[in-house]
Amino acid sequence: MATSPKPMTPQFDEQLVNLFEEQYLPLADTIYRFGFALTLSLDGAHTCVRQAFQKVSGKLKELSKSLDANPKSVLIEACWQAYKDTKGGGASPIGQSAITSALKPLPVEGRAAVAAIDGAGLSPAEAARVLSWSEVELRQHLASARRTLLRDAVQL
Amino acid sequence: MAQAAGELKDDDVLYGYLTEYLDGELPAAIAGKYDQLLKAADRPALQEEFQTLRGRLQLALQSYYLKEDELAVLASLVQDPRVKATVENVKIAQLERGVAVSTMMRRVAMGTFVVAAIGAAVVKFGGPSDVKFKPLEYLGYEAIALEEDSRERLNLPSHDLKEVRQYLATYPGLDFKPKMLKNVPSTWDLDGATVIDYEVAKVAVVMYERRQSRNPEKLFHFSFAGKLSDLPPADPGNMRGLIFQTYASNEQNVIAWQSANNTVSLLIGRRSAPELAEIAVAGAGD
Repeated sequence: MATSPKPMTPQFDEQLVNLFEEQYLPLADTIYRFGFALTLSLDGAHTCVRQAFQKVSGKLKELSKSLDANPKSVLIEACWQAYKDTKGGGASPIGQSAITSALKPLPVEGRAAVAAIDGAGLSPAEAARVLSWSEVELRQHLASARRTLLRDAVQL
Repeated sequence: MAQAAGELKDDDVLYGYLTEYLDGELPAAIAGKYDQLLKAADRPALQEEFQTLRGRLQLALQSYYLKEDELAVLASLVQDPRVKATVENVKIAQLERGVAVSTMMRRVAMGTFVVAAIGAAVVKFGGPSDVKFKPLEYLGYEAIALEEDSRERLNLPSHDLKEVRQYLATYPGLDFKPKMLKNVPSTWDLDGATVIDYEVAKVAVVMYERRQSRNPEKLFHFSFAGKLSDLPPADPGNMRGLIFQTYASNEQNVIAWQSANNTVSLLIGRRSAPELAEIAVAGAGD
């Protein structure tokens, strides 16, 4: 089982702190929703988002030097990786919310594709990259999920 | 993207490219095919249904968000909350100091302005009641200044008695009748007149000059509204009925007398007090 990167030691580095607080922290809710779509669990979503931010905080210096790092893509990738590392965070899907009912019939890949593209607004190419799929795979998962949701005419 | 479409089943293309189709961003290579797939799907409202689904999905997800304390936990990954609090406190303290300094500066500036305004108002409107006219002091200096530079200080340099008399008689705003010496000894020539405005008092001045002497000598007759008793007490003199008071400085002698009911005259020159009194007596009566 892969281990999460060691969190950044709490210390004051104004430039990195500003980067984190201005570019990444505002996306916490987006990542939380993505995590929820994956786990269908609040606890699981919390675990995903916490581990995603831990991963990102551990490589802030590297990210600060990368001009083309899209914070949303970076976090979704980290969240997806955390989900896979923890096998869903160990939390069982709970709740009877409409979104839970709608997403529950979908495989996690379908939920990931729909949540990343239709929920978080990533482009299909970017989603394919961060979810580590080929574009064909992404389109297949995405099409399958959309077809199911539209066929079942879920009421969200 | 078009290459991926080539490897996908028609149904996957139809549902997998819905976003691009709605956004008008379908790759040209599959645009024609996509229209055919849409017609073949026999689902004419597919785009609208998908748009509705996507909107509802986004709306439903928005009901999930992190609380403040959960966000604070994430923020603490890069900065100890105590350090963060300290930094924020320092920034707040700096801001407060800046605000305090600028407030103080503003208040000082405002206070200065108010004091200046009050001062200006006092000078403009309240000055006369506070400032006292000191004839001996003021006119002693005035006589010396006129001696040194009479041409610049006399408003009417003139040897014409009528002209000087008219000038003084018609001078506006005087609350007394300016006096002239009627019959000054012929050795003294009329040299001109002026009115000095001290704001608290106006003073008429007539200047005489003794040109025949080796060193031209000047004599000044000041008159202003007031009473002889307003002057500092002095032993009274009497020169053939003219009651006068005598004052002296290192350079000049002064005699003062009540030349009219509300008018005081001062004759200032380098002559002795009796000589000044003689001149005054000779010229009195105007």
